Amino acid sequence: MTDISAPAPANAASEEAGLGDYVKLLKPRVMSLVVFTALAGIMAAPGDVHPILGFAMLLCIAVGAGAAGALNMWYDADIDAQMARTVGRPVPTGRVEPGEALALGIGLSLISVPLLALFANLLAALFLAFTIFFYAVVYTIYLKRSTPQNIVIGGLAGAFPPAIGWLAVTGELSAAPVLMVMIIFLWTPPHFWALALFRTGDYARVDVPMMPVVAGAASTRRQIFWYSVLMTVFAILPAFTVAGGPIYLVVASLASARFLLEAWRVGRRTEEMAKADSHAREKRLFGISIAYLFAIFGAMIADAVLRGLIGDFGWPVWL
Amino acid sequence: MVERQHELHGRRQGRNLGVVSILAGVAVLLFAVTIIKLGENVGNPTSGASWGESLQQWMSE
Repeated sequence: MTDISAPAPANAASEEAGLGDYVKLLKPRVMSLVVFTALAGIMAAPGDVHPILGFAMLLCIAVGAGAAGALNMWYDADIDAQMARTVGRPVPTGRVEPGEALALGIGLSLISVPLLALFANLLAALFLAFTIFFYAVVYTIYLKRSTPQNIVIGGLAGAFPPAIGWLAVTGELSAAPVLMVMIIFLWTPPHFWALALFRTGDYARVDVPMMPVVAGAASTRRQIFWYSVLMTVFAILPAFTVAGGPIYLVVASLASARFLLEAWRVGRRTEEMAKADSHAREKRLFGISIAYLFAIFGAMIADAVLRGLIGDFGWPVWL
Repeated sequence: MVERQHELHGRRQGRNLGVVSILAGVAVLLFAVTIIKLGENVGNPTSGASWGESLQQWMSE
């Protein structure tokens, strides 16, 4: 999930960092989605896990995601300072030193990965380590400033948390966690490009080759729609895995239809139409995309609770 | 007597209290997880496995 919260006031540069500034380094809004999808992975996975142990696993995944966020803010401080959306972050405002962000990111990585290995298993910990590496190094350092496919490939890092949660409980992958990863992976381009369409100037100014900057708005709009179509296909399939159920099928179908409708509307618009209403449709798609992920993973959690309450209800498992 | 001279002191105090709370929370969590992981074996360490054997068992789990 992308953070578009308002920047801090201009006089922030003269202030010393408070605890909240270090929390902001961990990208708490992004972390909330990571926690929620990882929770879905933990709860939907077949197998019992003690609630405190589940909480500890979730905390490790959240801290690992926060570490990746801090490393991202450390490396991107130069371009963050020039973009309206990110100028208020703790490093560009001078409230937190770049070295502190780097140390926090490395430190939290070194804490969260071994602890997840102890709390859950080695495979889950290795996936968490790979996720941090992929986001902080592959995406932030290499992809982001070099290719318009940056968030397509980089989206894989944000897609892993439900699989890590699943692995933490079961120790092995199956169709359900792979589909969960695919949903978030295919969701990322429409989500991020909807934002990029109304922040194109920001990205162009700092030479970040986001799709609207490189390929233009019309091409980006078409790609948003086709990625949404693909995402919808993968979003329905988990209904027929061990993680699925009737609640998921209904919610995923309705939410996907809503998402697809909005993506289609955005796909048909021209830049003139978008400028005329200050990118209202694009902003709406961005908001809907966030609600969408919470809805479908929330439905997965609801089905898991339902199974816990009434036991196996004979739902067809085809995958 | 040292008087509070600046809002800075409040900010630092908040930061220090935050760090203390986090450390205390982690300590409690580690203790709770240890008890859960040990389960029924608390006070009954019967395996007698060597360090290497224990590590191998943990890796295979």
